[in-house]
Parts: sequence; structure tokens; C-alpha cells
Amino acid sequence: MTDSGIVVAIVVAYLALCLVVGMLPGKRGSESAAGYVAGDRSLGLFVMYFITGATIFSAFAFLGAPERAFSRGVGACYILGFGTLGFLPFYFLGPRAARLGKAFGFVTQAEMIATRFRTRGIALAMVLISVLAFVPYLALQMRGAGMVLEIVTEGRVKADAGAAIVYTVVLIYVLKSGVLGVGWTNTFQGIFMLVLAWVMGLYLPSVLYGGIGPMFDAIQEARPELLGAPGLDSKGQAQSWAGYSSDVLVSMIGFSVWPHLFMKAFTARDVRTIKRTVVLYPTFQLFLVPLLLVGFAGVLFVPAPADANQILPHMLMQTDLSPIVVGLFCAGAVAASMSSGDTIVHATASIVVRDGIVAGAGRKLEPKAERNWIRAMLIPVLLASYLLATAYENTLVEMLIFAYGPVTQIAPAVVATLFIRAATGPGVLAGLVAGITVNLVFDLMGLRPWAIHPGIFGLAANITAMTLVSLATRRDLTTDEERFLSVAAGSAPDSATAVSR
Amino acid sequence: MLSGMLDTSRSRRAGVGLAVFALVCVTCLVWPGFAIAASVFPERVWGIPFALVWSVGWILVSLAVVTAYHFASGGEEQA
Repeated sequence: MTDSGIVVAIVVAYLALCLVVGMLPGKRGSESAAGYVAGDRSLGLFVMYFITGATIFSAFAFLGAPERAFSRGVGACYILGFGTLGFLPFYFLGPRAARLGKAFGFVTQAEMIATRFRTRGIALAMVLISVLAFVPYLALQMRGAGMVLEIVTEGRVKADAGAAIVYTVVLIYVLKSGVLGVGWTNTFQGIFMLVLAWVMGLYLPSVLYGGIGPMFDAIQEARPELLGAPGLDSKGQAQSWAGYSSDVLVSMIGFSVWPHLFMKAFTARDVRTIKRTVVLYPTFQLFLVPLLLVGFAGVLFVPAPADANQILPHMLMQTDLSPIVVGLFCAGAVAASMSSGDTIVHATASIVVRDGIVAGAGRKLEPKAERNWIRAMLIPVLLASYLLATAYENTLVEMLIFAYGPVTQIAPAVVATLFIRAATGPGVLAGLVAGITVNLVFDLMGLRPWAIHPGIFGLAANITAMTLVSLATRRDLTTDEERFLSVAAGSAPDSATAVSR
Repeated sequence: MLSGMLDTSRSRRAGVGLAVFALVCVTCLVWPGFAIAASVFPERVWGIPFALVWSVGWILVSLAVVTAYHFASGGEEQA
């Protein structure tokens, strides 16, 4: 077998293994939507840690982080910056959401918000925002997986076909096992990726430059502009602090309220599990460091890759490594794409059905029918993302930064739902509509005053509209709202029967 | 009852401490904190870009502070 054949064989074997690991839990979950979407609220710390960690360890991390360091230098530290405290709000939001989920049977973020305010429009607005954020995020994962397969097969499998192959595997195990399949494949892949990331991050600088220090000496000599904070912008010019800071802030604010991440509050076994997961989360951030080192190792690498997103697999294929090692590394990159992609596709389909069809349109579905609807919805979600992945030309990190604009607009609504007594349904809805409109107008028109992320302007409009409309429509809380907030705070005596939905 | 009051007071102090830390940490990860630090420290520290050392340092500090908060606020005691 040729070297390339060995690499491909390892990647294919890895995909088969993921399929088996992902399919096994399907036998254990209940037939209800809560079983399929929230894993019957049974996940412990071990699986929760990896399932939330997979939101970091995506194609964005394995391919996007090296690309960012390769082309923007220390501007890539933005990835470390936003994750440092990005998950901390979940320490306070997550337990409240989990109590409400147990009491009312919520499995999505939007149905929780729509129930507090008794406003269907909120659920529909949340569906729109979630899809706007998720489709590019999923497309990013698909492009990453496709790129890896194209490189390891030396162009015989094109990126579009590669993405289709990998995501067919994802579709099969998500169809079968729902969130339990996602959880166990994320755990399996997470351990695999953590080991690979550090091996690559230490090995490549060592073999190419003689170590990490000598690598930065060489970069300082040839490309010193890459090492000065806050790095470079997309045109290769010195980046402004406003641009860097707003990217970090938008991502930090949006991080905890990503619907697929937030939904994990409904899957956790108990409040303590959620809190421990948040406490341990920064350890996942540390595993991004070696991936940045890989990107720096590529700065002076000859030949340069045709596409900066491909720097990691490109170097692996060009370096004199055992094909088995290269195969494992490439499988790791595919794993990164899959471990986030499966969560996202599962969450998007669940949100469209639970929030769009059930909560938004008011259609009643039996638990089994609901589960089948969610399964059916996986296919159009994957197709829409696939079309975007094949048509969109920007870098992986740029796709993620775009996605953070819409998702950040959810944050005020979540905080208002769980903490703010004075917030009203019309206020929250006005905030969501104003926020997403301003964000999209700025983004689509290419407006970025002072290089500030459009999400910041959206957020300002969102909070202003929510505050003003809530003040204008202010009224006493209903008994149901009082009980809703009591359950969230953990002070309701009998939370399970406290409020009718 | 006295021990309950002490617990509440300890938890509240821990909450204030965490809020202050979060504010300082965010300021140091973006402008102006990061910009000031980048102008004060050399471009490379221990042979590594200062921006990378700074960012990793804040991850470690936040890990320590959030862990301390978790135990101080009774996070382990809630089922």
C-alpha cells in the first residue's frame, strides 16, 4: 500500500470507529424528544466536559487556529482571549435553565424564553437567529473536513465530496442515537484530539526549527510584524485594538448562549455537574495553544500552502513523517470537524422543530412524532450548510466571527428570562428583532465603523430596544411568571408542578 | 442558623470577588489593559511572543479563581 493509501485507510477506519461509538447509545435512550434531544437528562461530568469542549475543538480549532496564527500572527490570541471567561456566565445561567428544564420539560433555549413571556414571536425570532448562526458554523465544519480529505487523497477526493462523505457518517449516528450518540463520540474524539494537538504542537516546531524558542527567533528575523500585539488584519496590515477587542467581546458574550451549548444545561444530570463543567472548561482552552504553535511553525514553511486554511494538513503531508502518524493526525482534524458538526446539526434540527413548529406555530406533536420530525429535519439542515460550505470563499475563522454576530443577540433575552423581573415579552422580542436587524444590516453592507464587530452595534440596539419597550409595556408579574422565576432560582417548593405551559 | 448566615456572607463575598476579577480579566484581555501591557513588556518573554504568554497566563489565573469561587460559594454542595 502507498503512503497516501495508508493515510486514507486510517482516516476511513477512524470514521467507521466513530460510527460504531455513535450508534451504540441509541439502544439506551428513550423514544421521546427528551430522550433524543436531552439524553433523558442523564449526562454526567465526564461526557458533559467533552461535549462542551467539542464546541472549542472543532474544525475551527484544528484548521482555523493554525490558519489564524499563520496569517495573522499573535492576532490569533483572540481565540484564547474569548474563551478565558466566555463560559463563566453559564455557571449562573446553566443551573437556572437546568431547574426549569426539569420542571417544565424544556429541551431548547427558545421554548424556555417563550414560556416565561408567553410570546410565540420570541420562539420564531430565536429559530431565525439560531439558523443564521448555525448554518455558517456547520458549513465551516464541513469545509474543514472536506479540505482534509482532499489533501490526504492528494486531490483525488475533492473537498466537496469529502465533506459529503464525512457528514453522511455524522447523519447516520445522529439519526440513530441523538444527543447520546453525540456525547459519546465527542468524548472518544475529544481524548483523541487532545493528545494529537499537543503531539503536533511540540513535534512540528521541534522538527522544523529545533524547538519553540528557535521557531520564534526565525519568525522574529523574517516576519517580525506577526509577533507584535494585536497582530495583523485580513489585509496583512497591523490590526486595530478596536477590531481585536470587539471580536473578543462579541465572542465572549455570545459563547455561553450558543443554543447548542446552552441546551446542554437540559442534558446534565444535576446542577453540580454543570458548575463543575464550567470550572474545568478553561483546561480545554489550553489545548488550543499547541494548535497556534502549529500555525506559527507554518510561517516559514516551504512550500507555502495554496490555501492558508490547509496549513496543518499541508505541513503534515510535506513533512517526512510516518504515514501512520499523518493518518492519525488527519483523522484528528476530521474528528474535530465531526465532534462539533454533530452537536450543531442535532441542535439546529431540534430547534427548528421544538421552537419553530411546536412553540412558534403552536402545533401539538406526540413525543415519538416529534422525534421523527427532528430526525427528518437533519437532512435539510445539512443540505443548507453543505451548499454554503461549497459556495462561501472566506476563511474558517471569518465564518465563525460572522456567526457570533447573530448568536450574541440571544444573550440579553436569556439574561432577562432568568434574572430580570421587569423584562416583558414585547420588550424581549423588540430587542431580538432590533439586534439581529442592526447586526445583519452592518454585516451585509460591509459597515464596520472603527473596525468594530457589527455584533456590538446589534447588541447596543438590542439592549436599548428591550429596555425601552419593557418600560413602556411594564405590568405586574403574573402568578405563572412569579413561579417560573422561583423555580429558576431553586426556591419553589414543588417546582415540578409549579407552572402549566 | 448562625452557620447558615456565615455561609451566605461567605458566598456573597466570593460573588463580589468573582465579579471584580471578571471585570479586571476582561479589561486585560482587550483594550486598554492588553494594549498597555503590550507596550510595557518586551515583544517576547522567555522566547515566546508576549501576547501568547499574556493570554495563556489569564487562562491559568481564571482557572484558579473560578475554582476557588466554586468551592468558596458552596458550588460543590448543590446537587
